[in-house]
Amino acid sequence: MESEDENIVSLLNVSKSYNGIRTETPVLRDVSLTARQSEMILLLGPSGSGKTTLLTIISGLQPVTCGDVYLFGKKINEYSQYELQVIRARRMGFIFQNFNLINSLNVIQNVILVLKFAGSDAKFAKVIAQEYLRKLGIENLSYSLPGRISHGEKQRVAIARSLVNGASLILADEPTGSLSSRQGMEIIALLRKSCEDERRCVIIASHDQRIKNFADRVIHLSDGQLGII
Amino acid sequence: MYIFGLLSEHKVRYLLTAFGIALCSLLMFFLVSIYEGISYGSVQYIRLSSANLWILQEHTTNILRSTSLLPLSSQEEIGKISGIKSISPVFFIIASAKIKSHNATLYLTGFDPGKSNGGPPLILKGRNIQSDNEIVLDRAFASKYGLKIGDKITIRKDSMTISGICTGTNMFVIQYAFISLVKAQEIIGFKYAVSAFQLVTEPGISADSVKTKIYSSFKNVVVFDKATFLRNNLEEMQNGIIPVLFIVTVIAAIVLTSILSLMLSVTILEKRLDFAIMKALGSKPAFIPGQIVRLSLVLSVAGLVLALIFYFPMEILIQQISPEVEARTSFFQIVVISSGVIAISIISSFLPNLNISKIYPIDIFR
Repeated sequence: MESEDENIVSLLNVSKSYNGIRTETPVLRDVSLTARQSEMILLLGPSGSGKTTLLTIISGLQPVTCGDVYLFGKKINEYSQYELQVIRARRMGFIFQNFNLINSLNVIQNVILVLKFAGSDAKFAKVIAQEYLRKLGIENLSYSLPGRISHGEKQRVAIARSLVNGASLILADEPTGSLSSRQGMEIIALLRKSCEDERRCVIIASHDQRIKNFADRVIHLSDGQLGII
Repeated sequence: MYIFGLLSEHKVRYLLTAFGIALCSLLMFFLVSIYEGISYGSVQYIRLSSANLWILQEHTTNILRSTSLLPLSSQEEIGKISGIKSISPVFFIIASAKIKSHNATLYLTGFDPGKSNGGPPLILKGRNIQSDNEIVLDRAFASKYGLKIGDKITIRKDSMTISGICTGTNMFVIQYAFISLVKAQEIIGFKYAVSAFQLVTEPGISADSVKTKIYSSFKNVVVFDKATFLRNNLEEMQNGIIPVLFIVTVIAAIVLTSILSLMLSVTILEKRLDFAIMKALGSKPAFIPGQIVRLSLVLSVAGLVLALIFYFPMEILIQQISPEVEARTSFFQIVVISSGVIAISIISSFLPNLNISKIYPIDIFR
């Protein structure tokens, strides 16, 4: 393995199956990959290929059936649930196809919430949240509710939320899925910029071929198996 | 932050919940203050009497729900016992009165107007009786039937003129009315009987020593000091209607718990996705249950504030509609009930919070 500083995530021969009443459905088979700082990886594959499952495994939200996952230099199953929760709050960011913003909170509150989970002071959190909203060009929407802004704007809020805690690992699940072509590419460009400027590792799961041009590596996932392009 | 977002998102629902909490709290405030009012009012006649000893027929413990008959002739003999300053006979009868077209029941108290005790404890309007055909009525009773000084009511066949209105004589289910001892004896048909004697001992003479002397000279009587007699009568009232009030208060508390639990469960069910997002983003384990407890507390405090805003005007309104309902409210009661409602709001969030463990952050990837 490479140095701990460089490697954010390493998967070694990871398999995942879901157990039914009488059947066992394999979702990932013998997957190995490493993601480093400042790297943007695109997991490309059709629906049901196991992309999302891979993201949930990396984020520690579900265990593997076999194989090893290293997260920030330590085996993921050696972390306690509390430690994983702290890692998700302080070192990871999430972006989803359907944004997953909290509709009863306004834009800035959605961003501040993550900082609160990360243990930031309320005043500091507001300043940082405003700064990220400004960087993403949506400062004017700070006090708007998610229900009143466009899909493109929502995804920018989601990006602000994922970056604001200084996360070194961003997991994006179909981030362009609900956006127009132009909006989608703008969002990916923002993630690319964050990857380069702030040395973040970005893993994108998508079936959108256009993202290929932005990624450092494209990993094709088909029926739970990897193939690097 | 999240709670206020929720509150503003579902204003009507949470406002209705706060009203539900307010109504349950109001019910509890009223029941407890009525409980206090009855407890206080039912023994106020005894409390305000200057008598420090009460003599009744043997085996009688109170004047509210038991009958005591003593010969009037013993008044003179008891009065001769050294250390007694005054002795006042009283005769209690529960009787029906005809007021205009209504029939009402009164706790008639026959007393000797020439004696220091036994009569109305505090006259608000008019004067004490001066003849056998006059009566002093309780304020709540007079108000309920719209009676005033100079009006007439009929007891049995006798028409009695209202000479005064008094207070401290409302027992909620029945009210005292004061007539002459002679008239009371005439109504009941026992010309030489009384219910009790109220004694005042000479200054510096212990009530216990007088009590001992009475027991040594008289059989078939029981003598109570004021404190014991007050307690006996209070217990009698508390064993009667007051447990019902207590049960209704407990039911109100259960209803309140149910309203809150239901509302919190609906919120958790409806906001599953929000909570799954929070879990995925790294919320601390206590964060989401803490939000639910906070929501419950905010609603309870809002409900309590509404209840207190409505309570005092409603108390006045209820006393105008039902003058016999005398509520006694104290700061202590408000603190106790408010603390109870706050405790209920925390308890109510316990069961709904159990469902939070069934919300999985992985659900947000689906």
